[in-house]
Amino acid sequence: MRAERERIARQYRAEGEEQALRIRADADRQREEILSGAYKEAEKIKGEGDAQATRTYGAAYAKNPRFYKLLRTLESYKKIFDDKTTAILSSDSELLRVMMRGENGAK
Amino acid sequence: MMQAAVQPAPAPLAPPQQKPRLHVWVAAALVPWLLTSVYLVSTQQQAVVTRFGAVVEPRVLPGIHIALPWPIDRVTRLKVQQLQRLVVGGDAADAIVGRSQPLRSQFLTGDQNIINLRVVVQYSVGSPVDYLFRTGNVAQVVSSTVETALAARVAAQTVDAILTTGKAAIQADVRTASQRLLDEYRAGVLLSTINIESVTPPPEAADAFRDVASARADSARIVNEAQGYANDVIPRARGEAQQLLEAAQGYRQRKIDESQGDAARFTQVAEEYGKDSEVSAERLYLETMETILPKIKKLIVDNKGNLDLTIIRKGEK
Repeated sequence: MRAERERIARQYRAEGEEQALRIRADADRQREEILSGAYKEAEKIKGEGDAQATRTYGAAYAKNPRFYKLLRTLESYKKIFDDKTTAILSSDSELLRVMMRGENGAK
Repeated sequence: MMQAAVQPAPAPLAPPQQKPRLHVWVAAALVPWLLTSVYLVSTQQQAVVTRFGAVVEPRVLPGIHIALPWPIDRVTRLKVQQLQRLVVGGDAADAIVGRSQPLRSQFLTGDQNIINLRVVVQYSVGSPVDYLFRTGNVAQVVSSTVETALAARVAAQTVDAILTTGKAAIQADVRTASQRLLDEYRAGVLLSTINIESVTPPPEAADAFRDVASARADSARIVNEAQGYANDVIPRARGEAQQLLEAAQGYRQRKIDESQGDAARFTQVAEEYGKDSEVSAERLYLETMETILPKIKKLIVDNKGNLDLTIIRKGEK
């Protein structure tokens, strides 16, 4: 009778454990599903934003590609050169031409 | 004459005075005897009238009634509504004193466990005649009938069911089964309640039973905790998901707005640039250089590539 009771006690505990694990696993699965679904949706939305932005930029820049190139290059310079940069400037560079040659250089 | 008339009068007075005396005595004896034929049944009682031992009135309701005088008719009154109480499986008094009656109180369950039960039975008189004349010891009959029904019912159950959820069902079943048996016996008893007062495992295995109970509690607790975990995790995940979506929508709107702003600005500037592109390009170039060059170190060489290092040498000293 005692052994039988002990067996039943063990069974109850194990069954509780089983059910608990089931519930936890199910909760974890739901969590993953919710998060991955949300990730999918979120990336889709971001993609829409990027796509529309690209379209807008493209449409605008296509009207004047030369100016865009200039503007964008100058923009890049501002970002590329910082206080750690050393520039070796040729004395006949565009920038220094006036300095070297006087008024004629401006032509 | 007067005298004569008066004289004989006292003489016969004495003998008649003796005669009524006898009548009075007889009457005095008769009246109480006759009065035994009038009887009262009070409100909570019913009565049975027997004539020379044979039942003539099986059920007399409360009130004043007349029967033939004793000993021809005999009236037996019963308190039919009064509930009588008996204990199956150990006496209530025994429990108080600490004595146990193991043989009477132990029952075998369907899964070969032994269990101690104490059951309180309450009953009243259903049929006064049957109650009075069918069985010698009504309490004994009721007790053993209930015990039989109980044993049968307990044997059909597992010990866990009896200890936990099965109690009410057993009580009801035992009551109907016992009542049916008692009706078969014509015991004249009406069972009112059968109440399982205590269900205890045998003391030798009590701790094992307690462990089962605590295992059940442990199990419920673990499950509850898991449920708590689920209740915490899932809403949180939903919140996080919503957060992701909102952020993404914000991002989309920002990208679109930025692109539109940039595009509008570019379009306007480009329009002006188109009118006099040479000058504008020059200006933009120089403006940019103005912002960049102050921050950086500069070395200037002539176009032949000869680097004048004098400045550097001076600086080294």
